[in-house]
Amino acid sequence: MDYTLLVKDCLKNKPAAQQQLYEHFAPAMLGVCYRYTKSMHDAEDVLQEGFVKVYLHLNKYKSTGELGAWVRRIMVTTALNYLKKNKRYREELVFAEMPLHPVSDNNPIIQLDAKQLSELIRQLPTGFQTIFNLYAIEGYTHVEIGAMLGISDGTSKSQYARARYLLIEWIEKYSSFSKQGQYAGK
Amino acid sequence: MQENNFEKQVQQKMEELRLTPPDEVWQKVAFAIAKRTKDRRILAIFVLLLLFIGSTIFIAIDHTTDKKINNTVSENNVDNRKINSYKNPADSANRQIAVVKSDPKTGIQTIPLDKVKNTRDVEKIPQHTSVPVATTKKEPARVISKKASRLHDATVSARDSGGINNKSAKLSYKTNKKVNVSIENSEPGDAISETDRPADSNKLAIEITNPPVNDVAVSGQLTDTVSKADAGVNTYLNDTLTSTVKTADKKEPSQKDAITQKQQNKWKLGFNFSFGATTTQNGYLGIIGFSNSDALKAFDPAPSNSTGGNVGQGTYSYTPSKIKTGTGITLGAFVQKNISPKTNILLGFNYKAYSSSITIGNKLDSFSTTNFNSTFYRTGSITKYKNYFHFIELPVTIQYKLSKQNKLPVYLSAGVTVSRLISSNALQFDIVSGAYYKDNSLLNKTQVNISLGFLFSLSGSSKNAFLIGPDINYSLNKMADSGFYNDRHYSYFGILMQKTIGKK
Repeated sequence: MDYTLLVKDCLKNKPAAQQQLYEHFAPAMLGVCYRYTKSMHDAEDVLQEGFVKVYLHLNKYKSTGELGAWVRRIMVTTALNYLKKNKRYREELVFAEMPLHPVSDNNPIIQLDAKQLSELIRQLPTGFQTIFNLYAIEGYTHVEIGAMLGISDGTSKSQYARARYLLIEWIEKYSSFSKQGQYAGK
Repeated sequence: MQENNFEKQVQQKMEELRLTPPDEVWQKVAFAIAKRTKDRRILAIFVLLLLFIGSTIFIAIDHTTDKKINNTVSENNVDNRKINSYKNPADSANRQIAVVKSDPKTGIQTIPLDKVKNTRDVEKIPQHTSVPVATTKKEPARVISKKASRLHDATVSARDSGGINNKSAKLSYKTNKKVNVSIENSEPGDAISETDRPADSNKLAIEITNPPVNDVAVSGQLTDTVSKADAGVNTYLNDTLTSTVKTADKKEPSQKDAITQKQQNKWKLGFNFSFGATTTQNGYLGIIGFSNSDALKAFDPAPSNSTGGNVGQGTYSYTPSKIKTGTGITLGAFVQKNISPKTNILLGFNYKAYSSSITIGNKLDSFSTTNFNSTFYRTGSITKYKNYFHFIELPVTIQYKLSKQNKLPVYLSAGVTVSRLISSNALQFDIVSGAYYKDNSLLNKTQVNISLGFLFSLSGSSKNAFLIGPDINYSLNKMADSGFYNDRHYSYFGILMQKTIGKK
């Protein structure tokens, strides 16, 4: 899809173009927002706020970059700000220094679908969830994550290791329960 | 490597994640964008208006300061001249005066200094004012540096910088004033040396009168007076001539001018009347700032009110009528004052009536869900109903004269108005029951408006000016914070007529 014309029309405040841009990216971006929050309502709030930012800052978008990646970065930043601002997330986003947990060698084949996996990620404590999303999925380094969240890269590493350990454990459990047909939960 | 496999798997799975957001998210996004865009435009208009008012005030203050400086300087000079005459009565007889004569070929008027015998000639000329002459070498230089930066457009020039030594110090400039040059304490042929020159010698006074001449040039045969003066005197004279004539070019007010100025500075009474089209849409006249937020109004839940309508559930059976453009009139009185030759300030008191129209259905005799006193109408397109909004308002306007000519000038007018809604018959709409009803409590009573217009004078008399021109007006406040008129603004485009009343 050629975004150049679409972006130009959006910059001219054409509602049809703005809606087209939204409809093109909204499903994927809601998936991003969903991974960072604990409820669909919060995810929709982040999506809404993120898209408003997209339109307001669209003039800063350089056509050399990929528009999807640019929109995604805005969504991630908006989600992080939402977590920091929101009272119930703010309390959970306190990152405790913990000894660096050895990264598990366990490396299961993930047989879950995207929705099931995202549900498991959302079960992680908010701090773990955030760092896992940023490192494993968005591809940020621990130094970058440390700068984004105002923590040391060591804390980011240890939190990530802990999150990874928990998630693998849950995936294995989920997979085994699914095979046995006993797991009817998330 | 194994670790990376896990991350890659997670990444791939998450890339596949697609969730469909509900429609209301887009509606909220569209509404927010429209609001931000509109806010930006209003802010831009507000900033431009502030800049305009600020620059107008700056120009006005700057001009007033210049006038005060000139007047002060003028008064000081009159005093200095008198003191000098008392000190050296004998010297006054030896002054060389340049009197202006007309040259029929060039239209330039010149007279050599040596043709004038003494200062009594000067005193014969009526309505003269004098311009300062400093008694030391440093003072004139100061005056020049201060004034030269402001009076860059003065056409005065000392054509020959060595004019005194070259026997032809010549000044020419365009003004309505005659210039007389007198050299004190010097006689033709006198040699003035640095050592024997008294501290207050070589005083130069330029005296300005108001003869009916247009182009004036002063040619002073200054050589006769100070031909042997040293370089310091030369510089001094050049500087002083330049300084004083430039100051004179600022058009010192004569007694007549002062009276006229005084009259212009008085508050003048006037009346204004305006009529035109008015809308109650989102953005100015529904054009600027229009967004799809208007389309969302059908989804905008009316607030809970005494009609008891069960609103806000998101499912509506009725859509309200489109609000159409109406007419507007404004009439009132104002007082006007000149704050600078080009700028007027107007303070007024107006009555203003705006209207808009909707189509409604039959009148309802009773309305089951309400117990408060109002008339109700069904939805439909049977009757055209006019909503009237009556205001009183206090406008503050700045008018800036754009044209240089005094005959039929053009003014740019900008202002801020605070208005108060005094009554309205506007109908609100209950989306759930589909009924129109009156409830003025939903309307914002106080409005702050901005206005902009161009006014063209149709009469030459500035005292009794009749101005007419296009006028636009936009309310910065919303008409209402909720209900049918939520997020709408009053906007108006019309023809404004102004008439000031003054003594002829």
